Amino acid sequence: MTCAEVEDLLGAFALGALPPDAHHELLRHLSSCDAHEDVVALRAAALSLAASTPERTPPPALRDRLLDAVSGEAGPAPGISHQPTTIATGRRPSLGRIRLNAVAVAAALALLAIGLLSWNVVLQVSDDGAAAVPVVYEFEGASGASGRVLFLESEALAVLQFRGLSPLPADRVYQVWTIGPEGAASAGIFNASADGVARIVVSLERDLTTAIALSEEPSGGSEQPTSDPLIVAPLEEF
Amino acid sequence: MPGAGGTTDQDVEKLIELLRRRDPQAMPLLFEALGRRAFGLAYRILGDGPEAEDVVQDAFLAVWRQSDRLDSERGSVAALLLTIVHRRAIDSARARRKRAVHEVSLQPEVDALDEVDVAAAAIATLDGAAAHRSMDLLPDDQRRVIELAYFDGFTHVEIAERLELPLGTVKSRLRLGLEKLREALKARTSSDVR
Repeated sequence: MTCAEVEDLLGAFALGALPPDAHHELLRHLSSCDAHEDVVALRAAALSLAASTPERTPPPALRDRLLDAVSGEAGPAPGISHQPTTIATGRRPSLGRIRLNAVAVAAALALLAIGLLSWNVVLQVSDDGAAAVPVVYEFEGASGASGRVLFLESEALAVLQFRGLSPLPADRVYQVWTIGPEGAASAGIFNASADGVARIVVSLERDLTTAIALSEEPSGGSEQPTSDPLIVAPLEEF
Repeated sequence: MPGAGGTTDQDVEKLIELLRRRDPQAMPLLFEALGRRAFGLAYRILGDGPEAEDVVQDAFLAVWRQSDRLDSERGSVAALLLTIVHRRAIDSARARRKRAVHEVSLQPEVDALDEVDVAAAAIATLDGAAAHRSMDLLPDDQRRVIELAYFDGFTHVEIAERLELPLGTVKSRLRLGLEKLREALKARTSSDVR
C-alpha cells in the first residue's frame, strides 16, 4: 500500500470502515511510515462519536453479573476479608443488590432534612467496625436536581451523579465545590447531558470536606463560586 | 485531558491505579462512572436486548483483565472502554447481518488496541454534548456516511453500494466529515477549556 493509497483510505480506516485485509495492511504501513500525521487526530474524532450517543441506564442485572464476574478475579485487598457478602440497603430498592467482594456489612440508614435537601445516608461497615467502601450518599434538591455520591474513602475518591440538571448555554458550566474549613475548592466542571444527567469523579478528602456544593459558573469555571449554589449537600458526621 | 463527565487526569489516574491493583472496589466505581455511557453506545448500535448487555459486560471485563497494562499516559480509560464497546458492538451488528464473524471482524483479537487507538484515546474529546452538536454541523451527506460507518458497521464499499455512490465519493465524504468533526471539536474544546 502506497502513501497515496493510505491517505485515500484514512477516513474509512479511522471509522473502522475498512474490510479486515485493508485495515491490517494499512496498520502495517503506519507502523513503518510516519508521514500520515492526521491519523491519530482522525481516529480521535471518530472516537468522539462514541460520546455523542445518549447515555442509557443499563439493566441492574448487568451490574450484578459484572461484579460477580470480577469478584473471583480480584486481587487481595489489604485489610478486607474475602467472604463475598450481599449488601441490601433496604430503604432504597433502586440501589438493588450491591455485591461487594470481601466486605461484611451492616447498613444504617439516616434521613436528614437539611435546608432544601434531604439525604439518605447509607453507611457500610466492615466486621471490625471500620468504615468500608463504598459509602453512598443520596440527595434530593427542591429544584428538582437529585443524585448521589459514591464515596471510596480509602482512595479519597468519589463519584458524583446528578440528575434533573438543566442543560446550560455554551458559555456556562456546572462547577462542583468541596467545602471545608478553608472555604470552597473547585472539584471540577461539567455540562449536563440533554437528559439532565451528569457524573463526575472527584478527589475528596473526607476529613477535610464538610459539604459538596454545585453552582453555575462561566465557561472554564471560577476560582471561587460566583453565583448562589444550586445544591449545598453537607456530609454529616456519622 | 478531561475524561468522561468532566473527570480530570488525576481522577482517571486514581481509577486506573485501582484497576491495576485489581481492587474489588474499582469495578463498581468504573461502572458507576461509565456504565450509562457504555450502554448508550452499545444500545445505539445494537438496540435493546441481550447483545448490547453482553457487549458492555465483555468490554468492562476486557478493561479489568488488561488493567495491568493501563497507565495514565496510555489514554483515558473511558476512551479505551468505549473503543472496545464500539468494536464488539460493530462485530455483533455485522454478524447479525448473517455474515460469518471471521469475515467481518476487524481484528481477530478485538481487545488488542493498536497504537493508533491508544494515542487517539489520549486526545479524544468525550464531551457528549459537544460531540453531538459538532455532528449536527456536518452536511447531511457527510453525516450520513459517517453514521453508516461508525454506528451501523458498514464498510466504505458497502456504503457505496447502499447509497449507490462512487466509492471515491464515499471515501471523500468520510474523510472530509471527520476532518470537519475534528475542527468543530477542537474549536469547542479551546473555547471551553477545562
